[in-house]
Amino acid sequence: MLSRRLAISSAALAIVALAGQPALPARRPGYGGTLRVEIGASVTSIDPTAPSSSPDEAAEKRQIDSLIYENGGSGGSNDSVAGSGPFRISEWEPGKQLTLVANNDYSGGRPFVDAIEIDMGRSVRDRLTDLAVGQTDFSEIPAEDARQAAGSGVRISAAQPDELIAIVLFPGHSATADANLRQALACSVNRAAIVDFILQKEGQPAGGLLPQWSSGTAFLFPTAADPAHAKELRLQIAGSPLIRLGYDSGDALEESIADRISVDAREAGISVMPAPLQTGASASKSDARLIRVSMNSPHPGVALGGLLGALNPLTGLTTGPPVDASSAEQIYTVQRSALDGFWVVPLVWVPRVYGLSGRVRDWQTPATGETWPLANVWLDTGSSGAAKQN
Amino acid sequence: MRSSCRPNSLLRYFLSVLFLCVLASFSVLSQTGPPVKTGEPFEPSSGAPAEWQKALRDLTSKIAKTVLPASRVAVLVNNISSLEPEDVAAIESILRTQIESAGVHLGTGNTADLTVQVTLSEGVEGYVAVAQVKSNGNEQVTIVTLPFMARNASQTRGVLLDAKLVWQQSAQMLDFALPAAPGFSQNVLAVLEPKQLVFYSRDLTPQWQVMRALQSEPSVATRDWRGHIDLSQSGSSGDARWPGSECKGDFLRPASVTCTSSDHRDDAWISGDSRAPFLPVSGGDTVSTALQCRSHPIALATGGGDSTQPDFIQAYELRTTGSDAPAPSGSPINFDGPVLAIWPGSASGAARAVVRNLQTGNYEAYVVTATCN
Amino acid sequence: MTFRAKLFFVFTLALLLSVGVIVAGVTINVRNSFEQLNTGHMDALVAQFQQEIDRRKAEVVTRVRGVAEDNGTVTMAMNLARPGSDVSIYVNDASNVGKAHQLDFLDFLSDDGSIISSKEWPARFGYKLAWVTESQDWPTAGAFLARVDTQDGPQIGFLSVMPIRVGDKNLYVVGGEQLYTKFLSQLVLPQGMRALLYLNLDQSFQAINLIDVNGPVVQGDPFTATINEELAHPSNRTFTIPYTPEAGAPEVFHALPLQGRNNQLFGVLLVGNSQRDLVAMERRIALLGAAVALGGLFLGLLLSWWAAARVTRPVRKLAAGAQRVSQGDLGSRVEVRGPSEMVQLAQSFNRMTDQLNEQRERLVQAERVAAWRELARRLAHELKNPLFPLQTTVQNMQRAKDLDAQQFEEVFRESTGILLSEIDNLKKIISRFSDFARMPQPELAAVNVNDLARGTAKLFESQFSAVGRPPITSELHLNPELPLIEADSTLLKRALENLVLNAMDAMPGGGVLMLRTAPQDGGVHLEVSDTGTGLTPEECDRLFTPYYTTKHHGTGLGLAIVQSVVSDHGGRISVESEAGVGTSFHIFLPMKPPPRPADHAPSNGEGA
Repeated sequence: MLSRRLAISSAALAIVALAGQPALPARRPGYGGTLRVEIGASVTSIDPTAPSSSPDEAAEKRQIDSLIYENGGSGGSNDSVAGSGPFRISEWEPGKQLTLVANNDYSGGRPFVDAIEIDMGRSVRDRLTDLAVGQTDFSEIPAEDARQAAGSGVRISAAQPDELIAIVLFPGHSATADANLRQALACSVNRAAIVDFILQKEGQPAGGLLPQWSSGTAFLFPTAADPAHAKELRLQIAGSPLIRLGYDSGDALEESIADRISVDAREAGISVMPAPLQTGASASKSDARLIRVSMNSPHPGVALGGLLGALNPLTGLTTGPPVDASSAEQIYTVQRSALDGFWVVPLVWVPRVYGLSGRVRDWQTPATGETWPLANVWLDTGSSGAAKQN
Repeated sequence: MRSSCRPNSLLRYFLSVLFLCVLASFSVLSQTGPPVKTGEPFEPSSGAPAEWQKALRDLTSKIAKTVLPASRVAVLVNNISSLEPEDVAAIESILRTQIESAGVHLGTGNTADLTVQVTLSEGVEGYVAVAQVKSNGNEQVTIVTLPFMARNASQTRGVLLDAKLVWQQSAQMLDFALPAAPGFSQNVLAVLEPKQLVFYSRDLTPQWQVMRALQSEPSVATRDWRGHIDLSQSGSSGDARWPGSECKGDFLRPASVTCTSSDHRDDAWISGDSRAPFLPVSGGDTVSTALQCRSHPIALATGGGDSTQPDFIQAYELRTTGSDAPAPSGSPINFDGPVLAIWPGSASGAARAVVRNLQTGNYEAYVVTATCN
Repeated sequence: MTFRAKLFFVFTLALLLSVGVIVAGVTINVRNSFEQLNTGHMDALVAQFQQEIDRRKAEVVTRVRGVAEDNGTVTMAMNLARPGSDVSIYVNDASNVGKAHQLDFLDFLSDDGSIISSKEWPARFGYKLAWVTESQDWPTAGAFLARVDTQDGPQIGFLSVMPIRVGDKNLYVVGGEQLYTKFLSQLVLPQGMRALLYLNLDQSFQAINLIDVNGPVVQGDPFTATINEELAHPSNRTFTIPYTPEAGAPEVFHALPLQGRNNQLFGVLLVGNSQRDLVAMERRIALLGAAVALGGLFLGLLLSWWAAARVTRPVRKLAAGAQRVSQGDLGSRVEVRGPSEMVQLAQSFNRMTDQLNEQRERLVQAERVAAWRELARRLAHELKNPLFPLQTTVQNMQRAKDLDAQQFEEVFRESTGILLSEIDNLKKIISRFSDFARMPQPELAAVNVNDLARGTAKLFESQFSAVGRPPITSELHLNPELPLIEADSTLLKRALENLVLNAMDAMPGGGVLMLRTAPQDGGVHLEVSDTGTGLTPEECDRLFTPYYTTKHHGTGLGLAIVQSVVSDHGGRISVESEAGVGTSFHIFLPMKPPPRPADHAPSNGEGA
């Protein structure tokens, strides 16, 4: 037997780790324990109706609200009562820490864990370190750090890629007025390199406005770079226009992608200057900017409507969602129409990636639009569930 | 205590023949496709659901409108979805038939005026059939959705595996067995260790208690301890072998078991099932389970790592037609350490596995059962 | 220019020339000495810098080798040598490894030259550095200068390439150190010297690429021409930069080209030596020279004054004496002390003036005698004319006494008539002489000379066109802006009438008489011209002598009277004439006659 065994490469191990399955035998769930959670944003209000100061805070506030409120607080009056959800608030230090305790009377059944402690405002580096040393049980981590985290022994769970990173070129700027230049820029970008190197293979190149796993037709939108064609188009452009590409200065991934776009464009003879923007600031001085837009539903018709709703105000386009949200052909046609003119250049699809400690059991990676299923996980402390004898 | 109704050699022979017949039937069936009639609308076959027929008709009519009046058209079908090859073949057959029915002459790539590239893809709402027709620098794209069907949904889920921890100990475990006989509950546990065979019982207490330990000094020095308890003949009677020793008897009655020294060599104790096909995809040991899902025999295989790495057991559907490789079915079961031994179990779809837990250092005995989903 | 001034100029020029030559000689010698000293310093420094460059290169090689031998790098190479290996997991390694090994540049390249990871341009993964795979001798090539493209733009640095071979594949480690201000700050330079570095990042000189220890040089334009020359023809050269505020003085620079593999020029190291000390020395020399020159000037001034005084005073005295003599003072004498030559000259001058005085007196006497003789002759001639008829008439009367009463009566009447007429002539002659002798002093009043001229022309108008004589045309060119002068209108009128009469006498065949007036030198210029027979030069010289006349009649006093009137008014009269063409008399009358001295002697001929 041993002579048959082959060496498993570390990559294979990572693949196993990234399969989203715990490397443990199946056991019956046990009750008890405190789930330690770390998040990056500083959530200052858990009122579902209160606005958030940033998209990151809004996203994590939604996750927290799903634990406290029935249906996340989006339903009727009962749903907006704190503690109507699977957990109740025990301690609350806005922006710093939140402690939830299991709601024994929850209609969906008492959660397995007794409590959840949520530390807020933790940097990515701190979260990764804490996951690696077991100081925390759960945290969402950037996709580009997943591979390294897995190499450090962190248990990784990745969802389907549902966040689109794209370039949006603003009309009304002289630098972006020439359609040949926009097309040349789109042709010059090496999406595969961005996925492999920057995202460390956590993601997919994006040619259309919907990922392949959702629409099934993403393969119709080419993603391969065509530097030769980009150079041909560049030769048809007079002058030396400079495109200022804005990106969120607090987003390391956007910065890396912007830098790479600049390099690819330079090879095609196009000048692109990355311009950091303060988080939340307007990009009025930029000719284009990187945007991150998440799908609000796995269903392509619904998701496309949401994406267009975010993109149209930026590009000035008025592409409407498909009339029949279930028609794959209409969905494809609407995407074609929205991408015609190269005002929007999809780049990559990025998944949500979660880091888990070794004791978290029954973790099911949430699908697009779903919240963290922390009410369904349980903690294996070594004494619960697993029996020495059967 | 011996059972009065234990399977005998004849029963085993019958079961083997039955297994081979099933295998042969599967081979025959997989080599034939649905019948194709020309000149008449294609009737639903067992290879394509009715909902797909309608969508495919829409697709082909649009294709026909696009390609006509081209004299000869090549249709190329590419599958990037999780559709089974037989489903793909069925769809391709339907497309060709319906396109021809629409008056389009089909040809090959060299003789065709136009090429229709049909890609079978998949989204969340179903499979997607995309037809691309390129002519004069323009491209016409037609898309239809083939909804997910229940049987296909079940196919994609595959075999369900369950691992039940039976016993764990810190001492090295080579094999274990739960002797079973009709009418007898499994209250005896036999654990084979390098230097002894230990019997446990829980007749009197909920926990396993030692009934008897048979010591045996090995006659050979070995670094790689292996051993096997073989109760396949009757489910309770058989022998336990390890280098230098052999114990025989009725394992339900440990007092009847006697041990003698022997000259078995190491290579006789290769884990797994010598009758199970070698699955290069797994890299590890393989056992057959006597279970079939969708007419495919199910085998269980471990991973290809070494004794310092966590391991898993994956179910595979064995396909014996053409070049189809055994396909993993369902999700694997992961363990905290290497699977040191895996043997066919007594029940259909069952196996037993010995795992070394790298975290605790204990040796764990699992009964793994596979069920069709 | 006076003699004293010339003397001063010569003294000063001689002194300045001497001082200038000495100062120039000293300056050149000092400069040469400095240059020799600087050249020696410069050569030593250049050698030192070359050693420093070599040391840096060796350091880079050591650090890059350290990276190549690092366990992590070796592991990377082994992993990448396997088929199907994934390079993407190493994309961020170069940054951390480069920091740990203190390298400004670090790239890991795969076997085909594709960038796996880059410290200086992290986003450039996947692109190839083709030049790395073109050479096979990297392990022995050492470090070299190269241009490195970074995220912040191109830079120059020392690079070294270390390949790690695993199986049949290479992993290239390309690392290096930037050549920038840090390099300059570690050079040891003597006081007064500085080092600049020009980084050849553009096709022509760009001031921003010229750096010193603090970054881009503030005043880089003076280096433009030399750097461009160096870029075109790299060589060790020396050049001078004029004064810059940074250096505070001109600088002499030595350019050392920094070349990489294939002799590409990547930079120029400029070692500058301030000429501050030399300039200060030269300034001191110049100041000293200027001080000496000033002193010399002052000395020259004194010398020249003294010398000139000794030489020019006698000359001035002689000149003044000559001036006095020219003004008529023949009795002036010059007393000179000084060089014997000047004394002799003065004595000669005195003798000359004495002789002139004597000659003048003799001449005056002679002229006086001649004038008396002429007057006597003229008087005798004038008196003789009327006396002859008187005598004849008286003789006739004597003879007529013998005639009858009626005849005697007739003869008596005729004779008495003749006697009375001739006695009138005598009286007129005597009256003219008396008038000339008793020329009255002018009675000054504001006189308009134009009016006088017009009046005179009108007076003689009838005579100009008298019957029996050829007509004379009068032309008046009278300046309307003629100023009034202080004069005696009667005397002037008389003088003018005399001139007109003379002009009429000079044009017996008719002609043109022109009267012209114009302002001149604050006074009045009066011209009376005719187109008569003209005068010879000899006649012009004697024209104003009393009793001199070219006419067959007249007393010859007319022009003398004119001259006397003009002289009494402080004016001048001259004549221009050409025989056969005409004669012009030019009279200048000042605005106001000068005051008459109490013992003013009459002019020549007047009253004589």
